[in-house]
Amino acid sequence: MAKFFDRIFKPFQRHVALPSSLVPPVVGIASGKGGTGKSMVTVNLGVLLGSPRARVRILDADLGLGNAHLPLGLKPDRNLQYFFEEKGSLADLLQHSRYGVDVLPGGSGLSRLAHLNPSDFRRFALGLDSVLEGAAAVLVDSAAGISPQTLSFLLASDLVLIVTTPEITSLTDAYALIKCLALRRPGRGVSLLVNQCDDSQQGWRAFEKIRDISGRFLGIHVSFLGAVPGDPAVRSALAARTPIVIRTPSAPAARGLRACARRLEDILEEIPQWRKVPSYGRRLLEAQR
Amino acid sequence: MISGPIPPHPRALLQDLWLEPEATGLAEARPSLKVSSSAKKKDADPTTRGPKAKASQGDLREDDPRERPPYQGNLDSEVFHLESGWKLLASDLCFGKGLDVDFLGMDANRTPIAVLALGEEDQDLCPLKLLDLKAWFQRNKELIRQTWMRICPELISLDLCRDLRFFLIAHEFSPSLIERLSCLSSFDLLLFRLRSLGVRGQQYWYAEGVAPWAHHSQEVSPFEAPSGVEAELLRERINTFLSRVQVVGEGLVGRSLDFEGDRFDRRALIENELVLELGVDQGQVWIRIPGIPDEFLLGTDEEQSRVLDCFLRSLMARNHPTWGSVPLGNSPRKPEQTQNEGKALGGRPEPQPREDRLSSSEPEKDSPWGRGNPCRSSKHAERSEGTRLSDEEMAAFFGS
Repeated sequence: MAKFFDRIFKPFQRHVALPSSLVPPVVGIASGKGGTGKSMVTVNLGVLLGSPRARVRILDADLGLGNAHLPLGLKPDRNLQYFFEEKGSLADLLQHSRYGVDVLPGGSGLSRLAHLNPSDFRRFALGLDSVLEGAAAVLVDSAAGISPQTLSFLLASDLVLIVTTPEITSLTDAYALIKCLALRRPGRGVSLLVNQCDDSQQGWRAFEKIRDISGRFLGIHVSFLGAVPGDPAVRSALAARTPIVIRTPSAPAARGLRACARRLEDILEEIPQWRKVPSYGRRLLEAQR
Repeated sequence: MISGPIPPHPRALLQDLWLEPEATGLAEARPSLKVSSSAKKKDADPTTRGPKAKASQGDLREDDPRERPPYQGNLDSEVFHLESGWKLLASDLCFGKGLDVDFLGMDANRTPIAVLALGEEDQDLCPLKLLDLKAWFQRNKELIRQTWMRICPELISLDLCRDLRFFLIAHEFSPSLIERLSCLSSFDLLLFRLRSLGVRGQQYWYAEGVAPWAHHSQEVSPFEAPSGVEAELLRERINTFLSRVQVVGEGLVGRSLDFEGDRFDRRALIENELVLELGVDQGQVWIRIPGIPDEFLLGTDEEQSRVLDCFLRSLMARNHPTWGSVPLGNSPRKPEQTQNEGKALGGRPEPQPREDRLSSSEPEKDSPWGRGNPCRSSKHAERSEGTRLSDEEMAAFFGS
C-alpha cells in the first residue's frame, strides 16, 4: 500500500514548511471490553499510515497496563513512573520504532497510574503536547472500559474508533461505551472496526446492529471502518513482536487492516491541517473537567 | 509540478534515487543496494531503452555531482517508500530477450517484486511483458535458484515459492494501458505515478498510487471506499450535490448547515440535528433523509431535484421553535408577534411553540426524525439517562 502521507506529499507540508504549532489529527482507539485486539489494531494502523518522514505517534493511554510497544518489538527501559517521579520529561520516554511509528509507552502493572490524581493528570496532559508536536497523526490506544480517565482521552480526540468483536458481549460493551461518550458529547459520531470476524459479512452484521441501536436510542451516527478477520497469523506476528502487516502482509488480517487504513486515511484527509483548535493536552484537560 | 521542460525518464530518475543512497544521505538505510553484475550483460539499445542507456553506460557513482541536472541534486528517496517493508535487491536484470527488469525487490513477506519504470514508449508492450515475466518466473524458479542467486547474492533472501508481484512506475499511464492492466486480475500489481514539487527552489520527487493501484482481487471489499479516479469523480458529485443542499436548506430555515464526516460519508446538520445523510456503497451514492423511509440514490439532475424536494419538505415538516415552520425566505418571528397577528386577523390561533408542547403532560409522539435525531427529543433524553443499558436496549441486542 502506498504510504499515507508519501502519496499526497504531506511530509513536506508537515515536516518542512509547517510551523511546529501544527495540531496533528488525533484518533482515539477504544473498546468496551478487553481483548478485542485494540493494541494490535492501533499498532498496525500506525505502521500503515506512518512513514519515516511522516511519523505517526502512538500514545499508550492504558497508563497502568500499557502494552502498545510490544507488537513493535520495542523494549522501553523507562516507564511513566520516571516522568511522575520528576526524573525527566515525557519526551525522554518516547520510543522510536523502525516502522515509522513512535510510541509513548504506558506503565506496566502500575496501579497508581491507572487512576491519576488531578494534579498528576494535568502535568501529564500538558507534557503531552511537546511529545505529540510534529507528528503526522496521533493514535491513542486507550484502556478498555469506561473509566473517567479513558473517556477523557477519547473525548479529546478528533475521531473515536471503537474496536469490537462480533460476540454479543463485546457488542453490548461497545454500545455502552458509545452511550457514555454520547452522554458526555451528544451528536458526535464514532467509527467502528469489527475484529476477529469469521468473514466480512459477519463484521457488517455486527456493525449494522450497533449502528441501528445507536441511531435508535442515542441518535449517534456510527460509521464502518472495516472488518478484520480472525487469523492465526496475528498470534504468530505478536509472538515475533512484529506488526502483522510487516510480517505477513498477505494474511487475511493484514488485508483487512490495509482496507481499514485506507478508509482511515480518507477520514484523516478531511481533518484540516490548519485547525484553530487547542492542543491535545489542553483538550484532555477540558475533557477531564 | 514538472521539473523542467523535459522530465527525466523514470528509469534514469529511479536509478539516481535508489542506486545513489549516499547522495541523499541514505546509504545506511539501504545497505543491500547494489548494481548487479548482470547489468553489463544487458542489451543497452539506445533507441529502445532511452535515457536508461545513458544511465547504465556510465558509472553513476563516479559522476561529478556538479555536472548533474538540477533535479538530481535534490532527490529524496524516502518519498519512494512504496510499500511497508519492501526492499530493493538488485537492478538492471535481464532474464532473456525482452525480459529485462529495471529493479528487483521483495516485500516484507519475501515475495519477489519486479519494478518496471515505464517511459511512454514502453507502455504499449507492458501487459505482454508482464505476462512473459510472470510465466518465465514460474517456469524457471530452479534456474534462478541455481544461477541467478550465485550471480546476485542479494536474491537469496527471496521466497521463490510465491508469485511474482509488479510495481509499475511512470510519469503518466495511458488510459488504454490502465484498461488493459485492469484485465490482469490474477496479477498482484501496483501502479505509481511520478510527481515532483518545487519547495524553495528545490525539486522533490514522490510516487503517487493510481487506480488500479491495489489490484489484488481478494482485497476488494464491498465496504471499502473507492479509490483513484473513480473516487475523485464521486467526491466531486457529492460536493456539488451538498452545495445545492446547503443553498436551499440555509435559504429555507435561515440557519447555517454544517457538514461532518469524511468525503464518502457525510452528514448535514442544522443546530446539531441531522437533516441529511449521504454515503457511498459499491460506487453508488445513497442519501437518507430522516423521517423519510425511502433511501435515494444520487443519479441524474432530475433525480437530484427530487431528492432536494424531499429534503425541503422534510425541513418544512419539522415543527421547530426557530426553524422549519418559518415561511421560505423569512426569518423566525417572535411568538408575541404571531399571537398578535392571529388576534388581529381573527383567524385560528397560531401553533404553540415547541417548548410548551414538550413541557405538557401529554406524551410526545414518535419523532419523524427516526434514527438521526441526536438526543434532542424527550424520548431520547429519558432513555439516555445514566449509562446503564435499558431493557429496551438489551432487547434490541438480543432480538427479543
